[in-house]
Amino acid sequence: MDKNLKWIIAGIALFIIIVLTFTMGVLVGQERAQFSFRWAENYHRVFGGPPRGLLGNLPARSFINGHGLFGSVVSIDKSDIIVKDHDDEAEKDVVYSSQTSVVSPHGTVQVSDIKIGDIVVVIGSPDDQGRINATFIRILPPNTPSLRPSIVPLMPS
Amino acid sequence: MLPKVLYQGAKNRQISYYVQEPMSKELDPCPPGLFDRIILTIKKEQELRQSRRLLFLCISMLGVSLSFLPFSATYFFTEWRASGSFYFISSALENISIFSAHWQEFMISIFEVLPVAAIIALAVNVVIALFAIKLFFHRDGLLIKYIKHNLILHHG
Repeated sequence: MDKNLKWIIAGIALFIIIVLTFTMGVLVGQERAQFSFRWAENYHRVFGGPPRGLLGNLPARSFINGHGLFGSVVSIDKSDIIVKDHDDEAEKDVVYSSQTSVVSPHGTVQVSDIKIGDIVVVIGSPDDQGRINATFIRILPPNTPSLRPSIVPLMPS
Repeated sequence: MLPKVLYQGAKNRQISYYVQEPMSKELDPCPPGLFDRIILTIKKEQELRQSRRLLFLCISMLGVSLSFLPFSATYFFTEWRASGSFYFISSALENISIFSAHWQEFMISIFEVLPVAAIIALAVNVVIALFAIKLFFHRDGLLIKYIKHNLILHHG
């Protein structure tokens, strides 16, 4: 094959990769920005206190993740669980339903098997109220070693 | 490239030298082939200088990239562990049926948690290190030959 043609093909491929990466970045950024805005707007409704947190101590990071989270379960309610995200350190309201698949190291389990202090991975989609509608929850083993130094996991009560 | 032009010029001069020889025999004492040798020496010297420059660039790049590598690797692994990217990816791989049903949410959640800055830092570092190593083998190992010739043969 002609050497110039090879360079042209490589250039086009590189251009496509760059455009795709940029597009994905914009898409993910928009999703995070929208979720962050809704999450902050609804923080006081979900967790109580003033809109910017009791001490104005909402996460310093500008955007937080809305489609998935990895963190410790802080509280469990009838239709939702509160999980503290280990990545952005934000407490997020995760809404579950009968459609939510829950998997533990022992196999498929029920939502009721989730306990406070469990480390979970949640996959879902954000709603208009800054919550995550969970489609999949994975309970990780208790000795999961992937926490930021500043975060201490809650022990099961 | 300069040597080629010079060489061609010298060839021409050499030709004209032979052409003019019968007319100006007493004025030109140059032995035949002198220009070729001069040009060859200039060419060798230029290659030597180029090799030295390339060697300096190569060693600098390799030194800088290798000295930054532990930092960028630590940064990457810290961010990778903290973000939980591994657990998102393993969740998708271990639950293929659920992943295939909700692949868009899985993919966006993985993209969201990826430590992009750390990945870019490590990738740039590794690419520079690999590029520097590749330079050693550039033009049939010109730099290795240069090092061998100048450092081992002269000082050894």
